[in-house]
Amino acid sequence: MKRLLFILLIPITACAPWTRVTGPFEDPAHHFSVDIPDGWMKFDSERYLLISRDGPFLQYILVEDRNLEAPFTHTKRRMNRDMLPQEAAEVILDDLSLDRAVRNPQVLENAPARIAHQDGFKILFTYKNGDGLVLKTLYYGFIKGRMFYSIRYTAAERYYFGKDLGTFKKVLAGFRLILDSSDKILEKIRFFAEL
Amino acid sequence: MKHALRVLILCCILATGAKSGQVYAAEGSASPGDVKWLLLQASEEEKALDRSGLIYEDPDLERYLNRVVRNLQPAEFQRDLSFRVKVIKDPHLNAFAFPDGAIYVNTGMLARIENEAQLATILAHEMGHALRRHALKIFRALKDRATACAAIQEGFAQSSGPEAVERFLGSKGLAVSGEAFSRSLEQEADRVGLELMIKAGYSPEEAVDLFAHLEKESIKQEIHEPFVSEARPSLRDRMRNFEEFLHAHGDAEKSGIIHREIFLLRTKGALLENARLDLKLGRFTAAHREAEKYLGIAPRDAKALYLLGEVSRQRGSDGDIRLARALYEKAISMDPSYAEPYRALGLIQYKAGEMVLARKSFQWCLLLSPDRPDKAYIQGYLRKCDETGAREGTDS
Repeated sequence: MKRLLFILLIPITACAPWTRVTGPFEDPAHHFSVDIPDGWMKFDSERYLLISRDGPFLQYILVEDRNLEAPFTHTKRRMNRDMLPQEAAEVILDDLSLDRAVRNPQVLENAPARIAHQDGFKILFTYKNGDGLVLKTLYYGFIKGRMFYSIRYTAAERYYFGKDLGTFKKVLAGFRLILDSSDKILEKIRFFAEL
Repeated sequence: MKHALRVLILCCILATGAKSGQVYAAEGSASPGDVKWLLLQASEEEKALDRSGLIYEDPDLERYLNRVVRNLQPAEFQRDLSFRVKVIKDPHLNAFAFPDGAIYVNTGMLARIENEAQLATILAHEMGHALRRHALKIFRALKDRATACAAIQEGFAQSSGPEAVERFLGSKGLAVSGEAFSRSLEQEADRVGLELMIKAGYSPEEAVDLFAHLEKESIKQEIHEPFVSEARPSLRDRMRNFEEFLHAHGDAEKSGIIHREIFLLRTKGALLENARLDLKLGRFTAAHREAEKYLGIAPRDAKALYLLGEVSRQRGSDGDIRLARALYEKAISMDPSYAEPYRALGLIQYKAGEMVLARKSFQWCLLLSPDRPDKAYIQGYLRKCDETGAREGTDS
């Protein structure tokens, strides 16, 4: 995670790819939509949606859709569509525990959750970054078709995490899937198969 | 830039080893200011590493490793250098030394070593860096190179924390100081290390066997890790160097202490920990081999049987799920109070639609471990099992 922030920092100072955007976010490159809260800024990236109010070192919300075949940063494990939410959460935790920039990760909660009407998981954990700052992350994720979706909120544990948790919950509640035509066909097949 | 400087210092400190005031003072051109500063930085980094949560805590293992180091330490340096060894929870192949004699060995290194003589090869090599003050030499070489900062910044952009240090140790840091230069230091450390081994009575042939073994593994598993990085002499070159050195010393010194059993017994905890780490990493072959090796030492260990089952379940190839079931059942038979195999067995049964069996497994799991962190998942599975059971009852 620290690596992610480091990568972000350079562009912040160089060419300011942060833009103030409010309201619905929909991008043809992604299979989801969310409502960006008032006063938050969006970082331009094709891989994920990253928003922050006070800067990513203090708090950010990251929404991502990734192909199940896509490799993780640290673990070579892969997700697959037959995985239970708990098994998907294990892969995320394995990847996290192998990140040497994440010091002393402590999982406070790992439980099933419903996200956008899908069965998934939520993980609440704390960790220290290289400067000793304690950060807290609330991570939601689920597998749908050939994609893994995640929406997470990370902030400095002291003051900032609590301050914007409510905002994150609103973003989470507004998270919607945008299924492409092949996904819709599969959905219909499954629906009729279950009848 | 502060970070870049820190990494530069770490490159010098860790790429080798060297130490305390007296030993450095022996270096003719040493500047005491430089030395003190280097040692202070080393001390800070050690503290940070010790606080990072990465240290594998096993007092018995530490005592054993420190005993091996004491056996290797030349009497003339015993007052100057206080060598001590700690183990890092990291599945990658690496070991490094701080200038004050602190040596860190990864669990990944211990897991690939077969006996005490091979362990002595690694420890003596790190001690060789310290005794020959290589840190200071690299520091001075780096200080004068304008490319150092650029390379460090580039490297730091790719990684951070201890990972950055290792990246530099493995390649960039040493490369900056000059490939030929860094290789010559590595060769010197190998030579000094081998002398220490022979003096301590260890079989030097094990050094050759170790590098042959590591080379085989690195090819098989396509390992690109610090110990086999491009800035160091290749494992084959090191093997050849050792063979030439042994040839020069004559046949009489080839035999010596090997101590396979004691090594395996003392390091088995780190071996199992490394198998867990390899499993997290998704290196199923390595995790499988390590769990098997552990079971060779402790065949009735339920935790190792469970871990082997996890390798099969997570790999999920043909026949793996059946094998995983058998291993979980064996783990339960070895230790019926161990909750994890019940959970794993329950997951397999649940996914296979065997709800009655799954229910039983999950119930046992919660009974044995009621406050487990994944309790909410298990309770959810139990609810689903009950719902399915009730629906089937209604249907029939």
